[in-house]
Amino acid sequence: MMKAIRAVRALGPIDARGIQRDPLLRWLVVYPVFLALVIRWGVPALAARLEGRYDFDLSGYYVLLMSFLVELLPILTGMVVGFLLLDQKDDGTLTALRVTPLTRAGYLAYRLTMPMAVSVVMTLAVFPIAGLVRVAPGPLLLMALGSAPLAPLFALLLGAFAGNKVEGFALGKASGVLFIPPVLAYFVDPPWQWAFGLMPTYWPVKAFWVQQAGGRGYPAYLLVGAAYQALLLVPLLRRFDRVMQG
Amino acid sequence: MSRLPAAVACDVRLQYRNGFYAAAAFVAVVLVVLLRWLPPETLRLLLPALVLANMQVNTFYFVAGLVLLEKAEGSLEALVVTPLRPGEYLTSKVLTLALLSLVEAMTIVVASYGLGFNPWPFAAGIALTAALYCLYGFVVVVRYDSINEFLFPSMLYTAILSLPLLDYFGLWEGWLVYLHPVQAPLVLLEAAFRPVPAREVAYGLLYGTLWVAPMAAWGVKAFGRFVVAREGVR
Repeated sequence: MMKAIRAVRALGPIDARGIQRDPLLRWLVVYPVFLALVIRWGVPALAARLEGRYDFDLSGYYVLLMSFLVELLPILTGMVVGFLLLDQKDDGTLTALRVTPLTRAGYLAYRLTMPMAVSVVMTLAVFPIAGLVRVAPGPLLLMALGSAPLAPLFALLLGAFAGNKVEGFALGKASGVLFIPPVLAYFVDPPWQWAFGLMPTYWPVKAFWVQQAGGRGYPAYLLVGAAYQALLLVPLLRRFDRVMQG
Repeated sequence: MSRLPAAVACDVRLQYRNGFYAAAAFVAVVLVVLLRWLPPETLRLLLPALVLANMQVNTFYFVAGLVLLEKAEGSLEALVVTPLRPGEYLTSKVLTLALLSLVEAMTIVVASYGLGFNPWPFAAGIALTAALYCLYGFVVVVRYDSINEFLFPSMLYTAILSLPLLDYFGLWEGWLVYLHPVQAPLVLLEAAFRPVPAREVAYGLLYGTLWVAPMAAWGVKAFGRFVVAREGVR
């Protein structure tokens, strides 16, 4: 615990300075709120239009639309932190950390928890503002926690496998398609739907559908998802640690 | 004249080494696997929009990454003292990324939908989109020094680019959309899958081409301001 506190105290300011230099934190606050407001006002207007023109009822798909956010917010956080890591890699900050008293374990723990915390806070803020579907505070907190490991997953994916910024964009493009399957899974009935479970992004999204349909078993999906995400984090952490060692 | 081929060869090497081709191949495979579930009439509507959205990454974001890397390494400033002209530098970026996009999009369409589409307007649409997106990406990113400064504003820049898709899906209609530069290549992509009146195809070709020249001029000017004169680098 002491180690963790030391890590936050040592690295927090570095990240904060990085964030001051890059107006990242401001954006991380502004963007989700902006997105939530666009959803709050834009989607009902769109639904009215579709209803009038095509006799198509969009409100039946509100749950699907909002389930998108369950994965979008952690992935977005992860990508941003991942690019921050690549910026630090390119300007030598990561190398400089090796000669500080900060332990490697402390650094890695910090790198895992920081994006998770940001992602949880964003999720808790965006859902009530967007307000298309009602999620009670308890279930919402569980969703936020169950999808949070996606943030360090994407951050470390970039940090461990991209050698520089350009590779980061190429990798970002490749991992961006992980975003699509959970949404398609919505239209596929079980047992085929389970095939989508290979994607770590599927589980929290599925949990949201179950919870919105009134299913009481949704925490099970979140647990499976979190366990799967944690399992994938292990090799990524190892590799990122090796990259850090140069 | 041998300067441009040299620049193209250099760009291809750089893009290959940084995984651009590997990423495009991976995305193409995943998309084909997913798209094969959909019926042809849905694909006819979806593919032009999907190709356009995918090209945003291939051109706008890839140019951004390349420029930021070249800036960080100082090789962009080094270009100032080489005989390679800004126009040639930009042309090389457009050519290489247009080719990458064309191969990727053709693969996705042929493998998911088949050969029942017209490749000519499709290729023209891709070439025009690549030119517009690459030049726009360069003009925007050359003002920034790090990805983190650029990442969030870029989402607004790309949202502006994607406005014609609102009209495409019938969410907002009006003749104004025909003034948007990206509407031109989108009409061409659409013409590959569905019968589109000849005057619309002509509009797509002419209006799209008309926009390339001022965008290129803007790109060269931005190169002069932000690379040569190092003005306003934050």
